[in-house]
Amino acid sequence: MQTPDTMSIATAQAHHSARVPGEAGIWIFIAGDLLAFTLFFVLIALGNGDQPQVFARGRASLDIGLGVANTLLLLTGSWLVAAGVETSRKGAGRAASRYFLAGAACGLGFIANKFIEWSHLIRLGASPQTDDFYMFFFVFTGIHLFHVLLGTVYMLVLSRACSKRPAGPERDRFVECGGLFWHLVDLLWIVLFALLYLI
Amino acid sequence: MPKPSSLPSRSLTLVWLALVVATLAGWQLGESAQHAHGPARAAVAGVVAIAFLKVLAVGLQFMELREAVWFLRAGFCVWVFGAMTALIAILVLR
Amino acid sequence: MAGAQGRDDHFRKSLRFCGWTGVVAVVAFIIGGMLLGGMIPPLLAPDDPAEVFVAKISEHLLAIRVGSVFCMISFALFGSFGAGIAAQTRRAELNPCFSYVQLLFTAAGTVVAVLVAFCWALMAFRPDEYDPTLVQFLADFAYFLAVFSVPVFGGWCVVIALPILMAKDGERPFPRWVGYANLWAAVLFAPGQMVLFFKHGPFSWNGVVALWLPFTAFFLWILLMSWAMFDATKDENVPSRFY
Repeated sequence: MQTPDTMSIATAQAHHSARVPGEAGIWIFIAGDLLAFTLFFVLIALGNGDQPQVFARGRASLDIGLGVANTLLLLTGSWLVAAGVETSRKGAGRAASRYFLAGAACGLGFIANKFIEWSHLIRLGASPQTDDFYMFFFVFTGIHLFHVLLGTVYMLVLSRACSKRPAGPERDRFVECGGLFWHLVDLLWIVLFALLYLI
Repeated sequence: MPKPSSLPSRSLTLVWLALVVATLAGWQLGESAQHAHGPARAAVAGVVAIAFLKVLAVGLQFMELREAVWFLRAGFCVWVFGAMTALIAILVLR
Repeated sequence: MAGAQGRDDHFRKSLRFCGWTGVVAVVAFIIGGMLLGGMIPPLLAPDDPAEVFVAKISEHLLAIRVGSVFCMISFALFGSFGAGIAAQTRRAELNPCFSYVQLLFTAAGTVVAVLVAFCWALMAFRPDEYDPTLVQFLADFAYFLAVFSVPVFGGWCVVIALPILMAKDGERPFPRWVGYANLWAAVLFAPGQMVLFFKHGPFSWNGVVALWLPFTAFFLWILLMSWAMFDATKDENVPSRFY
């Protein structure tokens, strides 16, 4: 039997934790993308076990400094975007708009950095055809780069939306979904960076 | 300058700082994993573990799963620990 | 009035028909492409010499021929399946634009898919008389049609997602999460374009990322959209639901 006390605690907890960030649908997209990337991570790890020398040689040719810089850019972007989401929910559209613009700038920095890194590697003669390490490196960071591009465009759209659209539940949902997508891109890079550059 | 009310909350900034520190720590550990001969496997496991702890922090704080409905949070945590365990197992045992 | 009610009833039935053609397409592909035809799991490999293609196909000649018949049935049904989705999104659009774009993608996707079945059938028509490289080419062409065609099938998913996500509450043709699932499907098709660059490994046309991922996503997507059409016609009192 439930006493009235435990019941009220239960309902209070249920009420407290019923929140779904963004909306339910975007979590289907996030879960799907996480599963696809999990397959990519496992493929990298298996390839590493099959050809340790090829992977060690490929890794040694990467500039870890550029990789760290890109990680810091995305993390800082996440911090700015999360601040933008908080600010937008408080109704301060103009300030939120600036945060999303700064987040988009981090995304552009990431893309520029990738361009520098890739063109350097290609000048050295590396290509996806060189060996299995470069195949995984170019394809998976390429797929991720496409995500960064989408995220950057989304942040620019949010920046505009926050200065133009009125605050409210519709804008909150749009803004939260954008934040979630950006953080997804960030956390996928964290694992890719560890598997491709660090190990 | 944004008005004081539009500054990022303190917990956001603290998590960001922790993530930056973890990135630098992972970098150092990665260097030792690539150059060491003996305990490289431990360093590899450490690098992957740090990466997934960062992922956990991004999910719980930035993606607001800390305050979300329990099954989203539980699902995410299960994925983080499952993927981390699988990757460490493949990398260290093979 | 009986007339209006009759028309509404007609729409509900025809939408359910379109949903069922999606289900039949999946079943026919499982029989024709998976159990008999050897399309997936792949019987052939892009790095095999042409003679190996001929030998493998000659060995499974009858199964591939019967499989091709089923594949043709499956792929032709994409047309009615896609038209059903467009008909439902059309009802929610005041001035239909996305629905028309969907119909174009449906038509293009059906043609591309039907050509896959043509190539598969021709491959098993007279493999011993064709030059072996021609047999190899037909297999390459079939897989390129199926997975290199990302913008056609991915674009189709995106123009299904947009009218769902842009609609107002209560005027939505399908639930919002169906819109996100469509975007996800488009993302999963994308690695298919890698097949041009690799002849072995996970990104080649028999690989896990370029073949299995898009194919699995595509047929699960068909089942999801068929379910969505059934769900939209669940209520007996209205021709179809809005969300």
